Amino acid sequence: MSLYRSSVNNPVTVTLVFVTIAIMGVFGLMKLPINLLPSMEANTIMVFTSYSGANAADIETNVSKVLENTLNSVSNLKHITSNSKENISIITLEFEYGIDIDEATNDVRDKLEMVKSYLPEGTGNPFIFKFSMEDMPILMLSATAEESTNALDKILDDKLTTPLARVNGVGTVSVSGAPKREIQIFVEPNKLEAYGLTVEAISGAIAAENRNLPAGNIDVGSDTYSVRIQKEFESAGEMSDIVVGMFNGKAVYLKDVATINDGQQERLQSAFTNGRQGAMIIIQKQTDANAVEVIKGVKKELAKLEKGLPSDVKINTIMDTSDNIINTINSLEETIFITFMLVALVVFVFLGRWRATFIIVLSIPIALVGSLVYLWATGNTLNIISMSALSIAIGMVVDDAIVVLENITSHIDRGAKPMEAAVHATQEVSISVIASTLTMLAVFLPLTMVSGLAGVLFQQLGWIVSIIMIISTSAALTLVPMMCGRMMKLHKSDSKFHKFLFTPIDKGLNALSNGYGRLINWAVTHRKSTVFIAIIIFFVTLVLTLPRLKTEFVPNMDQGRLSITINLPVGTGEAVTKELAEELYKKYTDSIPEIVVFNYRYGVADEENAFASMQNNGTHILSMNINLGSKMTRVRSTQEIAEWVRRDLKNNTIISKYSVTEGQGGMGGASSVKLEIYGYDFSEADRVAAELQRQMIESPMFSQVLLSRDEYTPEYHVDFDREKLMLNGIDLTTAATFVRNRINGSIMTYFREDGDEYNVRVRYAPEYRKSKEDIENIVLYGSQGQVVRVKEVAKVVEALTPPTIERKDRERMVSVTGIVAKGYALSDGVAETEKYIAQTDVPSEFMVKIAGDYENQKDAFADLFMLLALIIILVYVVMASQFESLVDPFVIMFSVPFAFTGVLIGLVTSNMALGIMAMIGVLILMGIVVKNGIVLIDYTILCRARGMKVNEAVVTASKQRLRPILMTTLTTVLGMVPLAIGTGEGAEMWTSLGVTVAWGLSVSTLITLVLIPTLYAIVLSRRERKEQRKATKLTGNDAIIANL
Amino acid sequence: MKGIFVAYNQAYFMEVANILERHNSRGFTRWNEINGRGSETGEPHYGDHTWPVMNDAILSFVADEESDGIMEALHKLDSITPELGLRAFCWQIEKSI
Repeated sequence: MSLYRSSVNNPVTVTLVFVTIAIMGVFGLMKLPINLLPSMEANTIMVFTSYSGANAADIETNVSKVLENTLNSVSNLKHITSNSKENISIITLEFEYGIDIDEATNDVRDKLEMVKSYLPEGTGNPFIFKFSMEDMPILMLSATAEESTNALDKILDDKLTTPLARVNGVGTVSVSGAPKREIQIFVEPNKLEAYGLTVEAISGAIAAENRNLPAGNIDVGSDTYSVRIQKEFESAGEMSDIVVGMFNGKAVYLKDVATINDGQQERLQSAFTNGRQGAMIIIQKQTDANAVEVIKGVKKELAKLEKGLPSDVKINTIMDTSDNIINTINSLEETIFITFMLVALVVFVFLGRWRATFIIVLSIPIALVGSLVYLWATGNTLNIISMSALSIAIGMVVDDAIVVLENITSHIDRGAKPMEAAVHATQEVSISVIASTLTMLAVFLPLTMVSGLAGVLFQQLGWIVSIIMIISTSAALTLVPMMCGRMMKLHKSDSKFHKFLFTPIDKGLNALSNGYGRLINWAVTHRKSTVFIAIIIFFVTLVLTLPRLKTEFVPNMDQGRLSITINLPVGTGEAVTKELAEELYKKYTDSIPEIVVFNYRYGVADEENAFASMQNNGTHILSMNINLGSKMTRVRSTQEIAEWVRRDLKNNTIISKYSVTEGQGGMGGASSVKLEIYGYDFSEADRVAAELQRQMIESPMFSQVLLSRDEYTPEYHVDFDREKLMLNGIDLTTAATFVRNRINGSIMTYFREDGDEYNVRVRYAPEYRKSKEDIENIVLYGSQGQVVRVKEVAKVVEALTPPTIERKDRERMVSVTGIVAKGYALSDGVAETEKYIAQTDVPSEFMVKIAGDYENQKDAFADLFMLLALIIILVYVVMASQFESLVDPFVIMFSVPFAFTGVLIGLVTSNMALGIMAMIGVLILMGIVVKNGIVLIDYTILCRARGMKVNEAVVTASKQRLRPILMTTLTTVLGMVPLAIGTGEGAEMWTSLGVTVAWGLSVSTLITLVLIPTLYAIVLSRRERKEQRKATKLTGNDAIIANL
Repeated sequence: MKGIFVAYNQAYFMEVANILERHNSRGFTRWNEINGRGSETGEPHYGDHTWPVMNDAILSFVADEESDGIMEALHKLDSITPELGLRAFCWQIEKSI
């Protein structure tokens, strides 16, 4: 018994098989986490090596170079970059995407083990750190307080960050900007000098007085008691009464020489949110955790924890990456729903039957939901790629069902009983249904094999569409005939309403197919002109559109977030930065009404704060985070606002460097052109870089241009004279420690309260460490107790520290990065900078290369073009084996160039750039544009075999097949329209895909509907003539047989 | 006794079997999925890509008095849906065992 008969005869089994698939899919859907993009495993490993006391150049030669030479041989390495600065070398190894990072880490570790002995003595152990986009903060909160401001750090630590860090998937929770309590002992240097005391002595005296000590046990009678001395300070005030020394036989109390301040640490990062000072809580997730799930968990916990906080402490969200993800996924869900409705409508209009429409449309949810089982089983997520795959597939899954149903209907119309018709009709078309599915698989299965970044992105798409195709074909061959057999009626009775609705549609379609028949008739009788017109159309559009086609890597997504980093001249005091921050805050909140949350911070980050200390920080650096809210709620795009801010900052003369970044890191930010200048000579490199930067700044194509090399940092160097020190009996370490303790302070003990420890820091009062003279006047004590001032044994000089030395692929490198302005694409920027490079005088030993997005784009496009070639070959192979002919599929392949015509027209008219999403659209097109050709040629062959003449066969086949072709093409094209015109959040990412497929398929269908029958008529006529010639040449037995 | 040979579109099987049954003729021999072509207008039924439809054929030997009824019923069936195709032939049987 055939598969078709058994499925028609076993409705329960068939139904339950598909219900099971659907249930598993729904189960998977409920469990599936969501994310913006498929998860990309870390592809970066950093190696930190410290070598104290060495300057940048020393580190470069002795540490970075040595490590680079060895690590360069690690396999799958794409780039190796290094940063050498004072005391530390940071090597960054960038690997190809999609490799096993653990294996790479082991490789790196082995190599480090090998090279260790070649490093200079005193070098610290190199340590390895894996880094990926997944390590970016996922949630930033702000905490503001009124009365509790001083205790905010402790409150947050006890009641918020510690419990939040326990939430499943949370990596680290760090707080910046919360004032940290510290007991500060501010001494006055002149009093110290008068009493002959030192900072160290005071710090030591406090430590000596602040002790709890167990003294052992004693036996009293039959009991044992432990003896303990408990004299730790209970309040900071107690310290003022301790004796720090004797002078002239009198005790000197701490209060005589110092003031005690139970206050907050100096030099902390200050954070302001919406104008109010408070703390910033930054949450990072564990690398493999899902951001949306983690944030959900954190928010749930937060709701509980907020109740336990003092009533004046308010928690607000500054940045929540899940907002954007959820909104994007929602807008895609909406798109999928609209697509579904559109496709159902097309099917209904063409078939005019409720039941038939229901049967066809039913296969959509089953196939879509069924494919989710794959996502769930492989631990993937619902993301832009997998959801677009679903959306793309909707228009295509119905094709098989339509073909089957159409044939069943024609059998029923002939009078067969539905059950019988279902079996036989399905059997008739099964081969062509399977063949067309195979052509689709020829497109989508290779997608699962791409490597690199494109591979990481599009493997899911390949799998999902392949699975959907397989499920939908199975449904078309089993479920559809089963349901048709049961639901369709032999003699349909049309209601009046039905007639009213469908008579005009039917008439219209008939008129269309008659008109089309006439057109084909003209075309096959004017073959040369038709082919000529097609060629003209192809080349004219090529000439008109190709020069205007722009390319990019990934579209810029409007994520509603800006991060701004402003550098004032190095060495600018915190007060100036603060003033600027307040000024900008006022200005921006006034002129950018879109701002929802405005957060800024400045100052030196606490070393314990993992995230903040990794970023640039300092008294001269101001970092801002602006949340502009969802793009649906505002008129201006994030890009427009970013450009406004950039223009504003450009005109601000006190700012030395600024960077405005759109998005939240990772993909979908603004396109940028990164120029890398390789060469050894520092000043030459600076000159070339500066020249390129100047040209780029002047161009309207770049809204921001950044130089990677920092300025020289000003410092005071205390240059001790060893001889003079020795004469006074002081060694260098003692002298240096003295200076450090007076400026930075000496911490020898902690003040303990409620289980927490606070530093007790002894140092000069702030007014005594304000100038160069203050440093010079620091008192050192010689071996005989004589007073020696710093200026007597040292020179305090102002110096400049050279910046970090950057290297890439084992050569010194400086980079200039320009952000491409609104209205220009990456390719415009690249073309422009290529011009600048040609104009700039680059010394022969230097090399300038365009990297960054452009390099990624080149790599991805190279992969995808290879794939395109492979797909075209595979599609041809599948068709050739189906037709058992080499020429017929070749004729069908003529629809491919017109798909490119359509893509070019579509992208240029809608002013979009060809990025990787559009490239994927092109790949998909290869599979779908040939489908119409297959249907046409297949039916023409049939008509010929049924004895029609060439032209008659071509015209009849074209007329006959117009309806199914229009129907499947319309479902696919209309299925793409919601993607193409999407305006929801994240839509920038998939509009180019929708535009590509919709335009490519429409144009290709319109042209191939005429061109392919004509070309095929030419092929058939030549074949016929050949056969005739053969027949006339027949001799002997052949001739006798032919005439029998 | 008369012999009746019916060649028909395979979708007719149930109907043909029913007609025989109703005319008290239980026995028949059937060939499944066979090819054929009509003499005048009938489309070929070859079961290939060009002519995908297949025929069945039934050979039944019926009582003399039933044969007319059966032939009439088959003709009626054919005239309702002539596109499917059904032909029947009846002849006299000389001997049977």
